[in-house]
Amino acid sequence: MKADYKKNKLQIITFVILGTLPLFIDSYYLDNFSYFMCWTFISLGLAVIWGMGGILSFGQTAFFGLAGYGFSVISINFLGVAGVSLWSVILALTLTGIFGLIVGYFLFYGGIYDVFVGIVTLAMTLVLETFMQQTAGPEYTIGNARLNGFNGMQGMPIIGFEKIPFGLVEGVTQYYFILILSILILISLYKFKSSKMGLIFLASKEDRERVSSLGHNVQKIQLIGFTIASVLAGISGILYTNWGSYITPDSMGLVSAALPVVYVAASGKKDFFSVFIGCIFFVWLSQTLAINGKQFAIIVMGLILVIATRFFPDGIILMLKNKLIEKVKWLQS
Amino acid sequence: MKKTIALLVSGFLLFFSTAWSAETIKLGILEDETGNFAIAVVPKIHAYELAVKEINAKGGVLGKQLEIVRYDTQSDNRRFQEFAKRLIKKDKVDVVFGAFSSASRESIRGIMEKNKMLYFYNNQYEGGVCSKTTFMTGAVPEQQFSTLVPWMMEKYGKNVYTIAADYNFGQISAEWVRQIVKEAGGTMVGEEFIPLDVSQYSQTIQKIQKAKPDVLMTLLVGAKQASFYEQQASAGLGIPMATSINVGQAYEHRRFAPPALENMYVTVNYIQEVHEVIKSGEFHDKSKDYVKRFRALYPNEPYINMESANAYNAIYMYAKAVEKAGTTDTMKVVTALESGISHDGPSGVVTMDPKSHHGSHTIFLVRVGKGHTVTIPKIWKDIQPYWLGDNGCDLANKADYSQYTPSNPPSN
Amino acid sequence: MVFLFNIFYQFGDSLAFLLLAAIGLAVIFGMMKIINLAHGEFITVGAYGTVVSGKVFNLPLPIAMAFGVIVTIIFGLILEKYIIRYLYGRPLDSVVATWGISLIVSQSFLVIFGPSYEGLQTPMGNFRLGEFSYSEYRIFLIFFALFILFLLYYLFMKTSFGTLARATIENPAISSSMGVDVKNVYSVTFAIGAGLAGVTGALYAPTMTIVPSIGQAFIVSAFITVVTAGASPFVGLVPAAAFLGTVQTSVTFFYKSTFGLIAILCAVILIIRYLPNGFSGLILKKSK
Repeated sequence: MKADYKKNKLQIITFVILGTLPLFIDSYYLDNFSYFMCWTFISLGLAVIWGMGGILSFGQTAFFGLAGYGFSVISINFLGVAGVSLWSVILALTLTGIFGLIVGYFLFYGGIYDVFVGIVTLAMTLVLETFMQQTAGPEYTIGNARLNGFNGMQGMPIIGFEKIPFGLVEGVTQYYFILILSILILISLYKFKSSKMGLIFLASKEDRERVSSLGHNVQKIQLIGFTIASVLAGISGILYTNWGSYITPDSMGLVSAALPVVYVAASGKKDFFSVFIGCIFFVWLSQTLAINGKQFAIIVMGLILVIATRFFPDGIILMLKNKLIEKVKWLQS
Repeated sequence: MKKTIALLVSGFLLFFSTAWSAETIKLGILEDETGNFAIAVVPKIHAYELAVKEINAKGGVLGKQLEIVRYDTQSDNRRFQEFAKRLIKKDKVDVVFGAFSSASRESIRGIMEKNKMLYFYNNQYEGGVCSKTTFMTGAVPEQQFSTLVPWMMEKYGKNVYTIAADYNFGQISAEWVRQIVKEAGGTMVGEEFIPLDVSQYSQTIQKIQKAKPDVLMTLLVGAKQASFYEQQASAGLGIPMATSINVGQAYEHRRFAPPALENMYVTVNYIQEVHEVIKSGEFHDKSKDYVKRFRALYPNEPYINMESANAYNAIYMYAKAVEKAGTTDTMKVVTALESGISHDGPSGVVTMDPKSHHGSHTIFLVRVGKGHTVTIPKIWKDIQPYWLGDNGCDLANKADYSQYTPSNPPSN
Repeated sequence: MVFLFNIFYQFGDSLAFLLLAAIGLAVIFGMMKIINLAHGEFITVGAYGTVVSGKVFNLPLPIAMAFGVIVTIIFGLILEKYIIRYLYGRPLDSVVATWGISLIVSQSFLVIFGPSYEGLQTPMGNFRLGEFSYSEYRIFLIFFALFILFLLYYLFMKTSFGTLARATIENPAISSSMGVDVKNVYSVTFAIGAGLAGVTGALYAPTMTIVPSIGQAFIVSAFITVVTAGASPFVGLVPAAAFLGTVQTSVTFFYKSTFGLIAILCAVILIIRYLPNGFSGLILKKSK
């Protein structure tokens, strides 16, 4: 435990700062910061399959959207039953996980590897998007919930308990809810990475056949990694839906599919903490550029990505983190 | 030393300017200055600015100046949500104007309603929004189709074929067309819905030829789908086309090489050619005056479209309502808007319907002819947004926050 | 007779689109393994090169098209030299860099040329058969697509440059030890890929709305066609495009185009699963 503390000083300091943030910033910025953090889980999921397992997936957004829609449909149908939205979260995540399991089974037990995983997951995402876009008609209604096509669903209840003060996941509660969730998930991911299974998963990236010939069931581990990633993407989807009370097929399009890949690669896909920080940073950056950069915002964003991959192949945030630890002696011991 | 003085002076200026800005009425604007929709949206942004400048020059509203707080939403629904919250929580605006696509409107409407923020959507759209805090100044299907479709059928024949974008706008608009064709005693000889990503139309064109319609309704959206026009012209389809969206928004008749849009009919509530085509009278004078003022401020505007007129009217209607309410308090301004506020804008008087919160319009039938020259064969005056009100949406007496469609009316 | 011609026209049109969307990517992704998310923007460069030069210098269409292709080749060479060169052997990182390039290019076009540029009229005329009419240019596109594919096949499979390029990309280290200027081979191959995307842009420019996002209409079709074609793209492209075209046109014919789009995406998923080496794998296995 003590060793853990020493090894992770930077992480601990970061989370202490994040934990006291509500004391310093007003409700708008806090809400906005919660929004940035919504996107970390989908990226962390990608860091699991891509950073650890070496499998590039464009399917994270499909799980994101699926969970968002699942949560909306379930909670709208049971609107008014106290605390139901918490159960809808769990139910929606379970569904997402099952879907992830099925897709993963199809991929890894079907012998699909490398770039082809990327293409299959991209095709899957686009199928979902194309289908959802045309569901505006009344025939696409599940119980009381209309899918409402391209224009998206709205009016889902906020997660939490209405009767309890600060019981609803919005404002400060939302912030701490997401923050605590990210701490728990980061710790679990580090545990997973250093577990036996995690090590096999890491090794499978280098040489699938050799790991397999050593008697490990690589496909099973890849499937587990893929499912974990899908559930993490689902968490982001639900938190995003909850944040703005809105979900659209847009969130499963080509652009949305590429974004997590871009965040993760530019941050440093091998390190969860860098992905967490980097994701917040890049979402913030793209928003800030949109506010201040006018029509040059998108160009600047593109330049940053090109420069990041050209000069910092391991990710710009990971590089900065390593530099910081190297310079500040105290962080090392 | 100089630096210190400069710093002090700028500090004072900043202090006074913030103190002064407390005395302004803040109008939040969310429009797509960049991205896919920019082409039709930029004239809207300029129209807001024109209206605000004019009102401020006349002393503002309730003695306060109007101040615009604007963000570029980049044609991206997420940006709409991010900036909607920013306008409400950080900039603390008094009213929000904006959104082009219906999806972006829906992405922020919930946020507006939850925060009791007055919201103006100033765009032609598929209709049906019945929301206590939302006001629509653009034209809706009952205004554009109940005029256009019967006219086309009378002129060209009763067999109608619809091609429409396969999402909410296209599907709902097609539903309207279907209903009106049936009421007018015509026949739908075909209907095809096309995903937004499709840009190649040879198969569609052959399907249409097979059905031999007299009138082709083209409810296509976006740049990819707009490729249909060039392709149908090069295939020599030659069937009269009618729509509610082209020409009036993204001025395709000026951007595409003729004869892509030849023999196309559109119902609009304004376009900049109005005074060039109509040589005298009310509509000539008003349009000419509007374009003159617009060009004085933005001489390089490529086209002054119908959404610019809707944006312009929206600012004036809001200003009038605030003046009448004597405050910017949302619910009081809503009540004032529900008292039948109207504005005499670029295409005549637009009156806000208290029941549905939609504006009445003058509807011009625009025909794109040889060489893409524009004529206006017909004008319908004072067309009401009747559908929601007739079907049980009565916002002045009954709060509601929904969007309805012909197959799912409020009375259900 | 008319019915058969209609089938040829619809199917051929869809085949031409898939083939032309894919040709540039077949080189850059199929051969060089760069996941080029900026493929659409290469097509955009070709289209704008054609339209802008056609308008500004009042060039006849074929010359404007050639100009568009040359511009795209130069554009490709510059990108290769300063960015892409560093991404060989890092296919997954190429996603990020090419995504960045795609953002920069499409937004720069928006800033420079505005949200839309005046289009050109489709060349050639149309002719009628019974109740149907057809665009001659689109029939030309079908034959041209097949012709350019034949050229490519010849270039990469039959000439010494083609053998050299394939060998070098297969194993740069050995080629280098045998005295091949690896860098040069890569640049030239990449420029060919870019130029082909430029050809696509130039050919479709007169038939589409000229907007900065014009190339994005091609990107999904391009990727699925190249993947379906498989490991040896120049062998597999025609059967792949023919297969996907058939799936799309028939589903669209019997249902609606939304399901046509969904159907080809699902077809790709199944192909990857059951024919991992694509159509070229199937053909090469049979011929062995």
